[in-house]
Amino acid sequence: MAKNQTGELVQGTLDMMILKTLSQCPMHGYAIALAIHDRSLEVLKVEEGSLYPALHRLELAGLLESDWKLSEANRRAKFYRLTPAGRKKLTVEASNWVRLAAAIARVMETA
Amino acid sequence: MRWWFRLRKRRSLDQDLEDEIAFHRAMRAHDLDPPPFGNATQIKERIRDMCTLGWLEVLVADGCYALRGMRRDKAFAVTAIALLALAIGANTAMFIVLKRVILDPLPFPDADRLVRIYDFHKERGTAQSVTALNYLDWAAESKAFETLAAFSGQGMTITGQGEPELIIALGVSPNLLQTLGIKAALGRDFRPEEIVRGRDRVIILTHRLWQRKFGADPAIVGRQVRINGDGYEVIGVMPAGFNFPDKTYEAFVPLPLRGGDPAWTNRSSHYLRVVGRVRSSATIESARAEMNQIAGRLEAAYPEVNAKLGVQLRALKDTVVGDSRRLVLLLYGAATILLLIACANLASLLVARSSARRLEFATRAALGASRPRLAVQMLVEAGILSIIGGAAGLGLAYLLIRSLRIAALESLPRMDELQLDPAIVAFSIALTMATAILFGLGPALFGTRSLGTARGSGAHGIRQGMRQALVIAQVSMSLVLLAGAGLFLRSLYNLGQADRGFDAESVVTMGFALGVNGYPSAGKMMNFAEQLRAGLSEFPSLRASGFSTSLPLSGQAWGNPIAVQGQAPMTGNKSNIARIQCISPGFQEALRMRLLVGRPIAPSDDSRAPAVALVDEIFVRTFLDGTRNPIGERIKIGEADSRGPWLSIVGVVAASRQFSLEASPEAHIFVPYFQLGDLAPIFGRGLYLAGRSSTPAEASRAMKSKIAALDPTLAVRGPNLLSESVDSAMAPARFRTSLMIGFAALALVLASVGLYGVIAFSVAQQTQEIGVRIALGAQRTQIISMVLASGAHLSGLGITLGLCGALALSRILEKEQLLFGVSPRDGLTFAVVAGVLGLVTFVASLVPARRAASIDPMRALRAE
Repeated sequence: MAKNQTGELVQGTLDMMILKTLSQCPMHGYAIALAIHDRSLEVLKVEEGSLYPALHRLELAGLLESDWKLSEANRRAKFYRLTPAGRKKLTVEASNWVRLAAAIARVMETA
Repeated sequence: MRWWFRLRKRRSLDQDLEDEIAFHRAMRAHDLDPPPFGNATQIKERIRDMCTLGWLEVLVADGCYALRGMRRDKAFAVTAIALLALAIGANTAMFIVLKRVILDPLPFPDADRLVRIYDFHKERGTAQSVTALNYLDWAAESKAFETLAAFSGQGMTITGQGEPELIIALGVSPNLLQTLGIKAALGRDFRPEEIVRGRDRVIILTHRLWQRKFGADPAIVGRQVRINGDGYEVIGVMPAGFNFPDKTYEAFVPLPLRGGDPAWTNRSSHYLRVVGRVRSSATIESARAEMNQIAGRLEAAYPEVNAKLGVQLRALKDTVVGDSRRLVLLLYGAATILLLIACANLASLLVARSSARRLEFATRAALGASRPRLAVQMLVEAGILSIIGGAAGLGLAYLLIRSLRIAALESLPRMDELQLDPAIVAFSIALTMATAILFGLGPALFGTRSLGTARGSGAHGIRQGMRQALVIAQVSMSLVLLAGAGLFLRSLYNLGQADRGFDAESVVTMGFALGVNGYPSAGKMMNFAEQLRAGLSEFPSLRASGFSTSLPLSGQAWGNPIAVQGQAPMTGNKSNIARIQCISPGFQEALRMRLLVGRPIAPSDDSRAPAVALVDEIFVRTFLDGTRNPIGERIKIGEADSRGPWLSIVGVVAASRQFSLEASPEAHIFVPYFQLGDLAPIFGRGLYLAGRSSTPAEASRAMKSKIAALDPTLAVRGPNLLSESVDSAMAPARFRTSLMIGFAALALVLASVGLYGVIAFSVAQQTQEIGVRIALGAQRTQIISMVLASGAHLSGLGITLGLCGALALSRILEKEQLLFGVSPRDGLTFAVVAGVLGLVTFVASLVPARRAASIDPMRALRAE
């Protein structure tokens, strides 16, 4: 459910990955994109066209909060962090995902 | 409060987004292999849509944009709004009628529990009025009804209050008003004991009569008035607007059903109408079951009169609305077809506009507008047009109410109060929204396709295809309306031309009633009648004159079973009922009812002469097999063994439409008035005078003065012209025909404008192609015929489809008996309407065809 050949994400999984990425520490958008790219061993490319709308959607839903801070490069950047609701959402989503991924894997093996 | 907070944040949000994306770009610039950044504007748009007041701002912005667009393109806006106003106005106006006739409950509390009950002849399947004793037994035995009330109309002469006046009153059982659930506004209701003869000299006035005749006297209750020569005490006045069963009846008096005249209080005179209020604990079904049981018991107990007599229950409202229900639905359907045509027309206008605005949309798409966003904008534009058009339509409907009421007054029931109410306004708002979606959705979906490229022509085909489909739909729907109008028009014409069996031209009529007090015996009545007959024959201005107990179209001729001497009683479902009217010598001549065989009723046919009768050809056909020579045959009014005399048939007249212009005529018998004998006090009190004269005004003065000279207390209704009653009998046909023609004419205009639009547009699109053709040597006639062919193709398809719809419609019209003397598959009508539509659409495509032929090839080619 993660991506197809061109590295496009399937809907729904991006939100979950953003939440997971932010569970360590607050980050700005570019860092989130990089983090997902790196952690997926360069398989997943997050397009800005999806990333920023997703970030704002999550913020509107009360799962993220944001602040303007100075970045590592000493520029003003918007940092996102998880809210308690976001953390709870992540746990639910993550366990769902694990169950789903395992189930899909079994189907693919046996078929 | 969240939305307010967001609204305030709105401005900073734009800045935020700007900064955030700038930061992202800056960071990416350092990267060796940066992932591609999308369309920044589009991202911002999407986030803004998400974060802000979204839909409301979009609506306001689109609304303003649409209004600006309309100001730029006034012609389009005015056309569209006028179209919508006409279509929504017509539809709303018809809905006002539909609501009044079909949806509104009758103006009585819990009106849905009121039912009419009839004696029902099980073998013939006909419902009849009820006999007095059957009614009294029903009322005593049934448990399912709170009350059962009976009523019957009767003429009453009010004297001592200005000119003597004959009014129509309703004789009622004392519980009628209680059954209907309406209390008198002044005074009291009837008391139960007022059903008894001798206690029944009390009267309740309608509000109208109280105002008209008694100057709205507040002290009217308790006053004595003289009616039919007797003193009646006014005990009450009904509230304004109370009409039962309709406006004809202006007062209420008790029917003396107990101890009254045996001619009326028996089990064989069917003259009462019965209405009951079903208990809230019962249902109409359970009431019906109970009434069937009671009728079964009565049938067993009185086999000689109640044999084969069951009951029929119908909701009171159904009996009031009757067949009008279907006519109203039909006319509303026509108005809805018109609305659909207008929608199709507007949709194709919008599609054309979206083609013309391709560049604008493409630019907006490039600037970040998504396709749904553009579709919403088009829908908002449609919505704004609709709202303005709908408001104008509602106003139009409001203006139409008055004329519609007047036009429909004689044709539809319950038209006395026709008004705009909140439900109508709500309906027209809903209609407006539905209209906007109907004509806006298609263009919004197709019009915004493949906007990626400004010059993109991929969607062009779809749009043109859609416009063509819409034009075909318009043409076919118009044909359906035109065919309906054509069939109605033919019916109306036939109705005007049909042989009615009498000649109404220059016939003056007046009516009066010989009351019991002035004329207690048959002898007195005959005496008066003889003097009147002799007196009228003196007037030179009257070419022919006479009187009768019924006039054509008055519906007064009563139906009675008839026996034929030497013939077994009719059995099975064949009716043995004929309509009977008593006429004086001269009446048949005054109406110019054609004598086919034998002789007319003569002055010598009096009480001393043998009893005779005239019959009409329908009677000969149904009772005498139509083959035998009817002269000399003997018939009897009533069963063969009843005590009445046998009447010899002396003549046969042509069938005449005595009851209604449209229904097929029924068998009629004309009996000499002067041979009525003992029956005169029962059947001969209400009389109509008819005189044929080339100077109707003079004749009516003479007739009136003669009556006044004979009896100054007699109240006379009229004079009227018989041709006027014929005219008003044609009112329903005229009403539905003119409405249908109106709808059809509008539809024709819309369809031709629609076709013109499509052809003109496609000519404009093909300017270069046509230019090339002309440059290469194509003849102008070839160009013209090419364009005409494309128009003919569309209208031909539309007409073919429409003919199928029109055939379906005509079958419905025939089933509802709305056609007169015209076949539902009338070739002439269909050919003419198809021809008219073909011709109009031909002209509509001729204009753009000529324009195409005049294209200058040099200019057309240079334009590219």
